[in-house]
Amino acid sequence: MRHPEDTPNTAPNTAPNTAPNTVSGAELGSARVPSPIVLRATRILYRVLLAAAVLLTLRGHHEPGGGFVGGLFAAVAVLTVALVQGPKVARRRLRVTPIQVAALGVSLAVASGLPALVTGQPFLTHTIGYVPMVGGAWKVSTALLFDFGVLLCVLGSVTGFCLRLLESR
Amino acid sequence: MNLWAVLPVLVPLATALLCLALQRRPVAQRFVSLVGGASFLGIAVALVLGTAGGAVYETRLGNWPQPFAIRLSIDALGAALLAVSGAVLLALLAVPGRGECATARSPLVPPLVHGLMAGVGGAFSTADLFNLYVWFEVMLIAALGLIALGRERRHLDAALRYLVLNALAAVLLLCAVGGLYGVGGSLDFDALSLGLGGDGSPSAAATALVALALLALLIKSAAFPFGAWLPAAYPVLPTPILALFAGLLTKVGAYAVLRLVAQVAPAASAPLLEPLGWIAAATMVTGVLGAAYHQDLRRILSFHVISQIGYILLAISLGTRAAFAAALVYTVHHILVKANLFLIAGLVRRSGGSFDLRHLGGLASRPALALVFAIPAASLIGLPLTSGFWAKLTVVKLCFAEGRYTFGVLALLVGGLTLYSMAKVWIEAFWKEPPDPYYPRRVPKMAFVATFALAALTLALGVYPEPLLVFAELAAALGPGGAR
Amino acid sequence: MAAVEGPLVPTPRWVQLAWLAPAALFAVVALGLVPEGQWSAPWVPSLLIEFALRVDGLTRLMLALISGVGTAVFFYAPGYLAGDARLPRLMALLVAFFLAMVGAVVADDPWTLLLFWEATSVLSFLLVGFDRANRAARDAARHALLITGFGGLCLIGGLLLVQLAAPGLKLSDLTHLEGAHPGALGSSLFHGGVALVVIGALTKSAQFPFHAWLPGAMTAPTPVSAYLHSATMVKLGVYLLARFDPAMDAVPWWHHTLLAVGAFTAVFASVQTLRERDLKRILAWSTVAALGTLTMLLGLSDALSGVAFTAFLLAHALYKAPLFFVAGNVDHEAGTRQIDHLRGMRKALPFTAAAAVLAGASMAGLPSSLGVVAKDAMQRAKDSVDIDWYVSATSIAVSVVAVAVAAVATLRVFFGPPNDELARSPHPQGLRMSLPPIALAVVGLLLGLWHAPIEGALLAAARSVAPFGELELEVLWPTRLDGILLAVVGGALLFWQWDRVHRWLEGFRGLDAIGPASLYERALAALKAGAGTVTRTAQHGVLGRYVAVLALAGAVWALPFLVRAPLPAAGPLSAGDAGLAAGCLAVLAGAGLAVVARDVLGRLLGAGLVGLGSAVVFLFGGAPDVAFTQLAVETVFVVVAATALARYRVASDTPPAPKWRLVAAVALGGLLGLASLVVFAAPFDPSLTNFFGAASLPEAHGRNVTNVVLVDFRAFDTLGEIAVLLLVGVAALPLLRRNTGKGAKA
Repeated sequence: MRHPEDTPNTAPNTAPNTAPNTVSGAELGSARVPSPIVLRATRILYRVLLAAAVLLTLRGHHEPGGGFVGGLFAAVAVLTVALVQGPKVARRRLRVTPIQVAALGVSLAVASGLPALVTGQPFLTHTIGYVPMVGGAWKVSTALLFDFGVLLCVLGSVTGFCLRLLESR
Repeated sequence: MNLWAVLPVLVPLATALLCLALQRRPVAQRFVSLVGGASFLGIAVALVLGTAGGAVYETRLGNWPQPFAIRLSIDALGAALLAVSGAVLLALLAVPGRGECATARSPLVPPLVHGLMAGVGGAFSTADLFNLYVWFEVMLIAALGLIALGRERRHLDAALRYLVLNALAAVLLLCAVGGLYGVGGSLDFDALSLGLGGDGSPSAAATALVALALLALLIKSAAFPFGAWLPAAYPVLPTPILALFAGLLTKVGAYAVLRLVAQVAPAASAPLLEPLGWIAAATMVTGVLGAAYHQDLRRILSFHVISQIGYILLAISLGTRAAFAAALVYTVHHILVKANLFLIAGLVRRSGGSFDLRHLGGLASRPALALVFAIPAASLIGLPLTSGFWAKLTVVKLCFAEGRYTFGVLALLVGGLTLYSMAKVWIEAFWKEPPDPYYPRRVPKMAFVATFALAALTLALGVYPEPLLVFAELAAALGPGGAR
Repeated sequence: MAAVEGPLVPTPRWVQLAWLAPAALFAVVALGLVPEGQWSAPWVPSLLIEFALRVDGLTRLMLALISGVGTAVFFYAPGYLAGDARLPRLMALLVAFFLAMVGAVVADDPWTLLLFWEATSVLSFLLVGFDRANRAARDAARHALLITGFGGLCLIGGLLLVQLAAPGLKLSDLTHLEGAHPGALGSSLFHGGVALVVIGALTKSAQFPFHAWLPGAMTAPTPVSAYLHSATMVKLGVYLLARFDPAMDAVPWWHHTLLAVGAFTAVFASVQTLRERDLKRILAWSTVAALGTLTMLLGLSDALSGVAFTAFLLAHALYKAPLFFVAGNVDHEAGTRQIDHLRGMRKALPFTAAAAVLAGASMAGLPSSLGVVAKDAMQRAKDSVDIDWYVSATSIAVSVVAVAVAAVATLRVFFGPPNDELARSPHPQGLRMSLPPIALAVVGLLLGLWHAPIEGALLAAARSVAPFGELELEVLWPTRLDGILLAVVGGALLFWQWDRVHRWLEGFRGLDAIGPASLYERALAALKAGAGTVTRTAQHGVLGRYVAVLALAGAVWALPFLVRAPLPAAGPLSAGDAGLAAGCLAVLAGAGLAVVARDVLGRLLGAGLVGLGSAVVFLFGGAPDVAFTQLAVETVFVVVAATALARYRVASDTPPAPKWRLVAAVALGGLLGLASLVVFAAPFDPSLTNFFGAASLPEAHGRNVTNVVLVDFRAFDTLGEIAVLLLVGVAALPLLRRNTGKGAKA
């Protein structure tokens, strides 16, 4: 997978990256083959950390927590994968590039303020809606949307930075 | 109102995000980037027209009551600066991206440029001190990214200098903002103004913290002796981006000084105006001396940025409403002219093959280039029928009217040294025989469109400055009671 | 420079016919179709600036001069540069200059005047540097631009001051200043302003000590020298002085300054004339002398001096311009302007020789030329007022030299045996080159013989300069010939001994080293050196020193204000303060470690400790949420930074910083510390925090105030900050890529 930030302006370097299994990738993979137990533990840890991140963000409005810390937790989740299985796997987990994750976060935060503009209120005037779901009507507010934007932005930036570090030698 | 006031932030931010998403599609990215720039300019022009009729575009974000909400308030001052920023943005986006180095073509440039514009838009719209700090940070990081894009050693060195000195300013500004909040009890400009003693008798603490904030802003606006970061960082940039930096970054600092002195803390800053005037004078003089010394066009122009900042700060330091109006006129003029000169420096490089006057020559045989250089150069000097003439004339006139003859004479003399510096460029780059007969080369006509448009604007303001002067007079009525 | 090489380029039609434009204006002026009066349109009302024009006698005279000489020059130029590809550029610049000059003399508002004034300076720069491949021409152009540009700045400053004393002053107000702006003359601002205006005018008219640019400007093509640097532009300075003369007539310093400067310039330039061998430079110096004479005449307070001024203004243009054409024709023909080589040119250039004789006669002030009218008027003007001896002596000396110069330019160059060594130009000189000098010279002669057509115009112009008393027409008839006789005899002697005098004066080379010309050179060199020193000192490129300078200067700037603010009183410590104190100690220890540590990892740990301490402070300061986040961020930061350091193998040992940096660090730290103490001393207004606390749950539906502040109350700040975070990510990409090695990504 070729990432957008590996831009075409440095042509010779990017050429091998278009093929998925490049020399460096193979090297990284063969250097440490994690045992199945570690792999499984990693997968569990990854999910737990992600869930914690979401929970921290969800309850952040009332209890300590919030999108920022949530983002850090999510980043740690991805980095765990990167440390164990290599940065390539971690990138695949994200599906899109970290920068795109971060950009999505900022977009989400901006989007959370837009409904108010449509109704003629100032930008970022948050509204609350109740969504019927398991366990009764869940309170969903645009503020939460904003907080998830923060989460994604932190996640994207931190993982982007750290993955790059891990990939360098 | 609620919508218009946030657009100067949201439009560039959205453009930046879209450009980031379109990294791998250069054509689409360029299109989005241009549309974003044009929208920014369009919105800003609409705001200027609105504020010229006396309107102020305000919104209290989150719909929280005054003074607890972050308030955006685009008055005539902010709108005018947004409009010239938009003009510069569009001009540099319109310059074909091919040019001196790979940096200018990187797909990361448009997101960073529009990200920087989001910071600029936020800084010119906000009426909240901490929010202002946030937008300064946005600008700082976007600018840093643009400097570091080159990735060569000199770019990284420049980025480091830029980062260290500007981060220091950011820390100082943050401390000052916190301190002002502690002393004045609010972050909202108007409420803070009351908290700091309004027009009456401010506390010594208020004055001290305003001094601290001014220190941070003086670093940001590259005043002497705090401006070392500017000539250290600017010359490594490709010229279109350099145009943006030179046009906007330091001016936002000067704008913040104006807001602080004229609106937020008129009384508390009164004892600071005299030393500010001397700093401004020193900035003018050292800046123009640097320009007189250097041979590299980018360095020459970078030092002129510093020198011109001195004029703006000098006007602010006079502390009257007319002087604030003069500062705005000067800033508008300076943004247009300086950005244009850097764009033209890029054209000079394309035609003459170098930025160094020692390697240039014979450019006068390219009449379009000569003409398009001559107009903003004349404006920088302050020749009649250019915007620079009225900008300098009003500043000098006010210096004399306030009895600050030393400042007025210095301002005139710096004009003379500017003449020297521009004559040097003209004689060396345009008149002298080219050292290499291969040059000067032809530059495609399309490359001139943006520069001619900016030059035409400079001339228009020079031939008929009255609308700008009247508008500036209106815009200088800052704060609840208006300035003195 | 006049010689044409390479293929001949056909002359465009508009260039050939350009002379019709000034000719048309001349016809209009000569036929009296330009009415006297004022006209204005609003331009910049907020600065009290109008676009105002005015026509009076002096304006008409100047217009006639500009258009008349302009016609000759525009007719001459296509012949002089025939076949040269640069000819259209020259003509375009000359036409622009013509328009600028017309504007300058019809301007009534001082700022309208300034507009055209600066335009003439810029056009002069472009015309002097016309031969841009020639280094001497470029340097001369720069010299002219810097001096006249400096003068322009003085003029701007002066006009500003004058208008502070007399708001909205027009040039036409100067004839009745007391009526138009009562009290202005008593204001020191007005006098200061006029003094600056005088400096501006002196630079334009090449008066001592600003004269040196004019002889240098002779690198310009001959039409330019004839038009700008003898007949019109250099007259602009004395024209402006003439405009101020009515208002300043009763002011002693005005007279003394103009007399002294004019007299000294005239004598100085006359001496310099004798030291030159280049015909054009001889003429240039004699122009400077003539301008000095004009300045001096303005210094005389008398109605007659006005007549003398206007008559000499006209006469000088009518003989000096043809003489420049003569010099140009000779140069064109013989390829040299050195008077050592030039003799007997009358065979080759009969018409030019005739023009030279006629113009020379007028310059010498021989009877029945316009020159004598001017000389006579000057003589009587001086007789009628009580003046210092040096003024009379000066004018005699200048006249003597003028006669000698006229003789050199005519007798020496055109008569005697021809010099066969001189090359002959293959191009014959046509009508274009021979008619203009002879036409102008003949006009000068005719007007000398028959004053009637110009008497009215000269008197009207004189009334503009000296609007005092009635003037009679008879004043124009020559009455005194003794002074003229003296000048002619002296001039003849000087001409006879020219080479000897020249050699003797050449011996005074040492004088050049202290003269204003070398002053300009030295000032330029000093400017370059000074700029270099200042710039290299301020811009040394060492980051550590930048930071130190910034810190120290910042302390100097802010400390005086900080120390004036009250500091908090020390209070007793409570148990809860123990945690805070622990945090503070950790911060201090971390900071100390960061300073002391010699390697990067140690510094990083120190920074981490600072962050940890801050978290503790937050925890005990009542913000556990912030403390929590701070802790997480700090940990991640240290780990990531350490990884990065390990990956990039940053040089770990650095030399110890110089001691003075410690001073800077302490200064900056002290500054911020003091600032925070000052803040704590001020009474805190809790309304914002109270509002946040009160509104958080009921209105923003959140119990965690910190989070509500972040996502709701101040969500816009957060939006900005996450934009920063995103931009950091974008900005970091290329930075991190640099050292990644080949292909180690994706």
